[in-house]
Amino acid sequence: MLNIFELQKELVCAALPSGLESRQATIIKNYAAHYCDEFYTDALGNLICHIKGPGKKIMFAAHMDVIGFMATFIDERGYIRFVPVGGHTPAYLIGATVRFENGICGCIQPDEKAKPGSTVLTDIMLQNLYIDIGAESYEDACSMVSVGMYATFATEPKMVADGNMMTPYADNLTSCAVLLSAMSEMVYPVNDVWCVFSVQEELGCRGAKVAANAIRPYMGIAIDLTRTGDTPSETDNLRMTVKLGGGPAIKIKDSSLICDKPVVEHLRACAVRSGIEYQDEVLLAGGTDASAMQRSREGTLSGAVSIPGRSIHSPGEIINISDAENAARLIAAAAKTEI
Amino acid sequence: MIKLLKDLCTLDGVPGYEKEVREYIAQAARPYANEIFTDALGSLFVFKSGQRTPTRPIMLCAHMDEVGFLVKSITEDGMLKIVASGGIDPRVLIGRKMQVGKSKIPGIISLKAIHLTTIEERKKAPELKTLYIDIGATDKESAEKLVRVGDYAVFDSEFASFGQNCIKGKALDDRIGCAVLLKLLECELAYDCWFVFTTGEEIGARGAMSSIHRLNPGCIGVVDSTTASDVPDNPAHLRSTAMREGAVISLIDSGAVYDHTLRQRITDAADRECVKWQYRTRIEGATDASAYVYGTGAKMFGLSTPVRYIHCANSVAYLPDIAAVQKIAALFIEEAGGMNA
Amino acid sequence: MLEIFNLQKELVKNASTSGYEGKIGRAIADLAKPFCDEMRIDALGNLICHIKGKGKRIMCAAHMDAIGFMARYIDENGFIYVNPLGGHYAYELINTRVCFEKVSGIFRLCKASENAGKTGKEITFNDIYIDIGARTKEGAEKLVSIGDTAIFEGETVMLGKNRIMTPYADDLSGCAMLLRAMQLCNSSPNDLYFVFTVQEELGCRGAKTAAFGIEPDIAIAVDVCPAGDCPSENDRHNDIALGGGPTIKIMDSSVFSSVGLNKLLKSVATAMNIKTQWEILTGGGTDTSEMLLTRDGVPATCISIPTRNLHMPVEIIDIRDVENGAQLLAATLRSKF
Repeated sequence: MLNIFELQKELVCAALPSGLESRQATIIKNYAAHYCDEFYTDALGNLICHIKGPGKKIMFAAHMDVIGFMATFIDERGYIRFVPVGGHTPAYLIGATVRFENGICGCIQPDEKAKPGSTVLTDIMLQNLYIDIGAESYEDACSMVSVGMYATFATEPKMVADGNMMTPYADNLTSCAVLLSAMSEMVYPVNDVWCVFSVQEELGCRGAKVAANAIRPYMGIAIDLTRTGDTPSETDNLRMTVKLGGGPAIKIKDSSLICDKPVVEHLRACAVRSGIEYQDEVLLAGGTDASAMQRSREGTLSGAVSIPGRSIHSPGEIINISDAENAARLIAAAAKTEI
Repeated sequence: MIKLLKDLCTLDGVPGYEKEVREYIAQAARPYANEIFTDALGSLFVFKSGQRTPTRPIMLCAHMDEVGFLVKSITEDGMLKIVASGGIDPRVLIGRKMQVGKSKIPGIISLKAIHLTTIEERKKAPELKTLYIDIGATDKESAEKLVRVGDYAVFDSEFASFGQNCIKGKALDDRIGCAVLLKLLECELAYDCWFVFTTGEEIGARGAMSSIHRLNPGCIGVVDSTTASDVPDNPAHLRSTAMREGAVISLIDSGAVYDHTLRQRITDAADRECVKWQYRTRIEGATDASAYVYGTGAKMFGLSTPVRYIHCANSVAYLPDIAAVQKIAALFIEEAGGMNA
Repeated sequence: MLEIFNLQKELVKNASTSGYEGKIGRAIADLAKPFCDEMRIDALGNLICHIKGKGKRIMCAAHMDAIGFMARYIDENGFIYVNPLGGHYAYELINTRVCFEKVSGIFRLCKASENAGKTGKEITFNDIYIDIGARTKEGAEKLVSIGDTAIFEGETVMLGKNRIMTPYADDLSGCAMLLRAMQLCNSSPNDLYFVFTVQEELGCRGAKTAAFGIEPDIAIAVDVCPAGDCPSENDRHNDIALGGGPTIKIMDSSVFSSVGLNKLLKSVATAMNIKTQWEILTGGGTDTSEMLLTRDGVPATCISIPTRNLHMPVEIIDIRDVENGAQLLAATLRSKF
C-alpha cells in the first residue's frame, strides 16, 4: 500500500488542468512503471498501463486531470481575465488563491460588475472575476503570465480531524493515488488488467472514451469521488446516504449512467470476501468516466468505485484516508477476482 | 479567392441539405484528389497525397452546412411557420428576405406595422415561434403549390466586397473554411492529408463524428469561423476575437481542449513566417472538434476566421484574416505530420 | 535591517484575534526589544515601547490584533458555527481556510442557504459553518471547544518583485512598519512611545486606554487603507494605488486629522523625496480617532498602507509603501517640533 496523503501532496504540487496533464502523468508513470508489464501514453495523453493476465479485459479508469483556470486576457493595468476549465461556482472562487503553471501566484477577485453583496450568489458570472497577480503594469503582467496559461488552486493538502484530509483535487488525484496503490497489489491477476489514468474527464469524460475505444474492455470500472449527504441542512432534492468514513462507495447510478448489474455484483462480492465495509451510492447529479466506457464501441459493462468527498470542486475537499485505502483494496480484489 | 468565396456563399446548405455545396466542392476538388467519396451522412472525403506519409492519418475539416430554417407548417392564410436549424437569434430575422426550397421561392420575415404595436410589444424581442415567412401566397392551397412542410429556408443575401478588404454575405460560417481547404488542395502538401467537408456541424458536429470514426486520425485540424465581437459596448476582455487581428487559434471551448504541443509548434511556425494570429479567448461554443472522442485519440488543432455578425444574413469578414487562416492551415499539415511522422 | 517581507511572514505566524493578543504581543516584544529603552504591557494587553527623549511626547500606534472567529456552537455531526471577531462578510468566507489552535478547517455554505437564492449580504453567520473534517460532535470537541478562536490560514507570498499577498496586512504590516521605524530612530530629541494596540477591530479599544496613560502631545497611527487601483474598486472613485507611497489620512468616517501634523508629514516626505498619497475615506476608522479624542484632545493623524482585498486572507500590499512609510515616520519623529 502506498501512502495516500504523501502521494496526494506530490500530485497536487504538479497537477495541471484538463488538456495539459503531462506533469501529473509523469509522476504517476514513475510509480506505475513498477507495477505493470507495459505502459504507453496515447495521442490525447491518457496513461495506459497493462498488467497481463489470462482472463477477460478489465479496465480501471481514474482521471488525472483537475479543474482550473486559463488566462485569456491581460488588461492595461496587469489584471488577468480567465475562463474556467471544468465546473466552478463563480461566487465561491472569490478570494481563492491560484497558481499558474510557471509558479506565479495570485488571487481571484470580483470586478465592479460582479457585486457579490447585492447579487444572488449563484448568479455571479465568471466573466466578472479577475486574477490579481500583483503586477505593476501590463508589461509587468506579461512578463509573468501569458494568455493561454493554465492555473490551479494554490492550497496544499492538510490532515484535519478524524483521519480526514483537506485538499484541493481529491477529485481526482486521490483516486489516481488509490489506483496506483491498488496496482501495487495486482501481481499476476487472473483478469487482463488495463489501468488508465485518463485525461479530460472534467470536460466530458473524453479521455476515457478514446482509451476504451482503443482497449475494448469487457468490463470498465471508474474510480472517482462522490458527494456525501452528511453536511448540514441537506436539501431534499440532494439527500443521499453516503458519508465520510463509511467506506468506499459502490456506484449504482448517477446522472450519467446506470451501472451494469454484473459490475455492481462483482464489486460487492469482492468487498464482502475481502471484509471491506462499503456504501451504496445513488448520486443524483454528476457523472464519471464510467459512462464513457459504457458507451464506447459496442458497449462495455461499467461501474464505479467512489471515494466519498465533501465540497467537491472546492479548494478544500475533504476525504477520509481509510475510505481511500479501502477503495484501493477493493479495486485490487476486483482486478484479481475472475470476471 | 473572392470568386470562390462568392460561389460558395451563394449556395444553400442547411444541415441535412448540403447537396448544392457538396457538388460544387466535389467538382472543384476532383482534379487534385487521389481519392474522393461521400459517406452515408453526406460528408465529402478528399484524399491528397503529399511528400511523406504520416504514421496515423492527418485530417483537415471544414463544415459545408450553414444555419437556416425548416418549414414546420403552413397557415390557413398561406404563411410559413418555421423552426431553426442551428443557433439563430430571432432578433436578426425581422425584415429579412428569405429563399425557400430548391426552387428558391422568395419570401419575407417581418412583423406587423409599428402603428399597430404597443410600447410593451416593442420592448420585447419576438420569439421565433411568432415569426413566419410571407411568400405572397393568397392562401394555404396556393402556398402548398410552391412549398411543402420540411422544405428548407435560408437568408437571401447578396455576397459583396465592401469597405477596406472586407466581404459580407450569408454562410461565411463556414464556406470560408471550405474555400481555404479547396485552395490548399491546389498546393503541394508536405504530408498526405484527408480533407473532409462535413455536414450537420451547426446541429452538433454530426458529420464529423462519423468522419473521425472512419479515418481515426492522429491529428485533426478544424477550420471554422468564429465570433469576432470587437463591436461597441463589448468590453475588451469579453471580445473573444477581433476582426483584422489575424487567424484565430483555439485554446479550449465547450467542445474540445486543443492539443498544447501541436498548438505551440504551429504558433511558433506562424511567428517565424510572420503570419498574424490571435487566440480565441472565450470558452462558449463548439466546433467539429467536439467529435474527437469518436476515435482512439487525436491531437486537436482549432483554426478559425474571425467573423462579425456570425449566424446572420450579413456576416462580415476581412480578407487578410482569411489569407492568414490559409497559411496556418498549411502549417498545420507540416507540423501535424512532423509530430506523427 | 528588518526586511518587510520576512517581518510580515514572522508576524503572520503569530497572528492573534482581538482580545487574545498574547501570542502576537510576545512575538513583537521580542522583535522590538533591541530598539527601545523600556517596554511594558498595560492592563488591556497593549504593548508599549518607549524610546526616551527630552522633546515632545509622541505616541505611534499600530494595532496588533487580527480579525477572526470564535466557535459558538458545534452540531451533532461536528460542524462548527462561529461568531465573527471584527468585520467580516459571511459570503466572502465560503471556501476560506481557517485554523483553530489544534486543527484546520474550511468555511462552507449550508446547502439549504445555497439553494435559497440569497444575495451575498443576506448570507449570515447562521448560513456558514466550519468543517474541520470531524464526523461526530465528539470528534470535533476533541479539537475545538466553544470559545476557541480561529484565524485565517494563508501564506505570505511574494507577487512579482515588490508586492506581497498575505493575510493580516491589516494591521500586521502596520506593526512591521512601526518596528522598522523604531529601528530607524534609536535616538531622538523627542520622547517616543511605540504602541502595539489591542482590540482595534472591535472598536479601537486598546488605543483609548494606552493614549490615556501616555498622555501624548502628538499621535500618529499606522494602519491600512483600501487601494482603489483594481477592478473591484472601479466604481468607488478612489485613486489610492499600490506602490504610490504611504498615504496620509485627511479624513475617514471617524476622524478628521490634524491639518498641521499632515502639513509637517508632507514636508518631511518632500524633503526626503518620498512619494505619498492623500487619503480621504468615506467609511472606516482607525486608532487615530481614539488618540485624537484623548483627555483634552491630541493632534493626531495616520499613515496608511494601501491595501487590496481588505479583511480577506489575500490582502495585497506593496512592500515599498511599508518601507517608505517607516522612513517617513522615523524622519518625522526625529524632527524638532
